[in-house]
Amino acid sequence: MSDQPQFQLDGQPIPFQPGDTIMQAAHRAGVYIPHLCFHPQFRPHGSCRLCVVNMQGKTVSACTQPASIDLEVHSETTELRQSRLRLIQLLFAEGNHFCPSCETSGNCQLQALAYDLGMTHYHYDPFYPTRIPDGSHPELFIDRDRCIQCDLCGRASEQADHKAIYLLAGRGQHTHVAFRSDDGELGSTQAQAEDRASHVCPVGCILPKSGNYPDIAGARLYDQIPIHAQGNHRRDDGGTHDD
Amino acid sequence: MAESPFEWLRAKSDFPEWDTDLAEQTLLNQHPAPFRPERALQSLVVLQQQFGQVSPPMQTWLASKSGVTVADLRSLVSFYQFLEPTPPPRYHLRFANNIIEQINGVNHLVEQARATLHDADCKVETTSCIGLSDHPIAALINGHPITRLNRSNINELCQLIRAGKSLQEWPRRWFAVDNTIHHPGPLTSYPYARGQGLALATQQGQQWVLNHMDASGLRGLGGAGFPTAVKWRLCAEQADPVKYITCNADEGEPGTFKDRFYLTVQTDQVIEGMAIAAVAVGASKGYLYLRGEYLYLVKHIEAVLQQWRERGQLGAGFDIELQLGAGAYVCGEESAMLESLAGKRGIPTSKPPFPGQKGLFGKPTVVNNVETLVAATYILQQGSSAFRLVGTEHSPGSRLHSVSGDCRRPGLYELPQGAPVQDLLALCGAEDAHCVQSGGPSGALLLRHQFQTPLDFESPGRGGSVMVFNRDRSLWDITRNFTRFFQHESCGFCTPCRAGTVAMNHLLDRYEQPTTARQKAQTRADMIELTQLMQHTSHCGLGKTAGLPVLNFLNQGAGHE
Ligand SMILES: Cc1cc2nc3c(=O)[nH]c(=O)nc-3n(C[C@H](O)[C@H](O)[C@H](O)COP(=O)(O)O)c2cc1C
Ligand code: SF4
Ligand code: SF4
Ligand code: SF4
Repeated sequence: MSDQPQFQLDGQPIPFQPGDTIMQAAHRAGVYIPHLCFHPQFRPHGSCRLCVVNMQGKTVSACTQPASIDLEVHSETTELRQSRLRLIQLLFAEGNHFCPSCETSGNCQLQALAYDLGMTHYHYDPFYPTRIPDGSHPELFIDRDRCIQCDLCGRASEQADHKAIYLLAGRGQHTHVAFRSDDGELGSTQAQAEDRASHVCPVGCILPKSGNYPDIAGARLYDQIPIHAQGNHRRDDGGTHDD
Repeated sequence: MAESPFEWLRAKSDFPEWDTDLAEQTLLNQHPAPFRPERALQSLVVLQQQFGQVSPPMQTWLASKSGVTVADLRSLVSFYQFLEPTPPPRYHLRFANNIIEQINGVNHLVEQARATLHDADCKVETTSCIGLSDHPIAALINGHPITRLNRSNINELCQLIRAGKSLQEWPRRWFAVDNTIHHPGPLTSYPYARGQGLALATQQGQQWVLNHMDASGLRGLGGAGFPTAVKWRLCAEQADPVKYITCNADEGEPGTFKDRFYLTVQTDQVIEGMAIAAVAVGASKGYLYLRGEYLYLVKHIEAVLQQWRERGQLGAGFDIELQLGAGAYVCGEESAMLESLAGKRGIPTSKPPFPGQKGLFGKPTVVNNVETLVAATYILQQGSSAFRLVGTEHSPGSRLHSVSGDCRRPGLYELPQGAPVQDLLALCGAEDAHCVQSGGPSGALLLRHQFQTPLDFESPGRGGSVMVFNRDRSLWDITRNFTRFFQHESCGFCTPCRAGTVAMNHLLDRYEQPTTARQKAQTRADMIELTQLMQHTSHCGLGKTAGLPVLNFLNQGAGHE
């Protein structure tokens, strides 16, 4: 432990292993850096940008920045919290999020981070995009209105399920989650409810068709303990998958 | 000079019916192994040329041949603007909508064309700058450039379309692309001897070339100004025996067309620069990534490459393959270009690792702009001290500026690095310039009192492209044009740019509305904050700079709305 190299995160020493990113090391040390597209089991992506930290006068994403010795990294600054709040607000504004009726409400990482960062309103004009849902699969439902284009489903499907079913398509604001089947529908793929990819979405885009709204308000994942205190979880991961 | 451009062009009547044998033949003519997965994008581009579309049945066929899934092909088609899944119209007219065309009245031409051609088999669209701002108003007709359109000849053009005339029957002069150098300099006028620089490099060897490049102080002319020798050395030092040289000929920065000139007129020097870089790093394969808008240069570049092969200067130890983009500005960003070269959507990757360490197909790769490679050839032929004769200590040498907008002689001007903006304006006949946009939309807006600013890497006026505006032009229109451009070209990977560019345009909408002074001040503050958010948190240079036009406007534009 003591001969392990370290860097400083908000003044706290964080040991790291060769090849670690700042995020991986912080995560192992139990220090929370806000994130949505990062998942410790899958390769880093770097798209949500919530994990931006300051380092040597630059702002970088902690999930893609290699850790190195004696770095001084700052994460919980007023400016970065404000940047993260705005990024969250952009994610809300660009999709169609109606939390009160959403199956994932209370268990949603986007919503939990919004609360954490003190979001009270959209700030940006909502885009009201037209996004087409996919209900072709017998057990799974895709509500693209809530997708944040994080590609966690794509990475889980590839790295854990070895099925490579999910991918991102389109460009710019038209970027959307797609499925590797001839007709482009999820129902025509080999996707199964038990797949890892069916249980990785940080928001309410990939949903089971049955058993929704299982918990009453107050008993949901993020009702009692804020996300910064328990980390990014889903109600179906038994509190383990993010370790 | 370039062969007949029409070889790559067809009107719909010339597009053959979809036929798998013909498709296979066409692809095999282009490449010996067209069905390798990494060729997927190139195959789509070639099929698009041959059949005027890449329809779902064509995608299904390519998927079965290449093993790339239909969904992946669909995702490519949905990313690259020039890939069309639907049957082609007989005429596909794409007007450039850069600010230079806009101040020349392109919106009016688009309306006029749409009104006249509403019942013709013609699709009228706009597209980002096509590298012809020196000949406004420019458009692509079935992929081929048409220049100097105006309110009168647009009628003639519409009549030809209504009459169903094939492009071969259209006036030749409409297709003229003028590559005159209005002010030559070392790079564009020295006595070039084909292959001499490469011969010297081969004879002296890797270390000597690297040291020589170091001594020249050459900095990348594609935008960032990164020292070329440092880039080459990083790649040279990698242990991996397989390395690549890539030439970035994506030239997407609105208002820029210097690479068009080099690729047309000094093609040999681009190729020689790549071959020299190959000696310096030990690469055996090179790729030239040409933007889809420059399709009309393909025949010419291929022909010159063939000459090099026939003389034995290419082919044995090092060969170059030309690949095409398909309408995506972001693919000029080096890591996005490498993704595109590997047949994927042009999404920038995370750095580190840098291309020099892990680039194309995961191998150490040099990415250089066209002009940087021309300069490398110059340095090998004329010597590093000759190169340093002009320019400044930190930005040695000279560079070509693409000048467009309100001046009497738009076009190409080579000036030493560090020459002040006003020198350029005097040369191009822009005495009454009110402001210039230097370095493209992501560059600097310089007002009259800043015209002594030098054009070099140390100052905001990087140059490369200089768009000139007189007093009648609205800074607001310029800002709106650039901000829309960035929204259209965002690759969509990261939140601040994908959503931020849209939100920025919403804020500009709001700013235009009549509101109270307080609300206006709030919108202004929101715009500044969003610019900073994008600058600090975006994944690549596109998003980092996409807010700058707004910042320029707020800093410089007060009172000119
Ligand atoms: C959005 C974006 C677009 C770019 N477009 C181009 C381009 O069209 N041509 C180019 O040479 N460099 C372009 N660049 C810069 C490249 O990333 C890279 O720095 C350059 O090709 C390196 O070559 P150089 O060192 O010879 O300048 C672009 C960068 C960004 C961020
Ligand atoms: S996905 Fe999350 S943020 Fe979106 S509507 Fe559902 S609960 Fe709300
Ligand atoms: S479906 Fe969910 S996991 Fe997949 S990209 Fe969208 S938000 Fe991410
Ligand atoms: S900044 Fe824009 S262009 Fe660059 S990766 Fe992000 S979304 Fe794509």
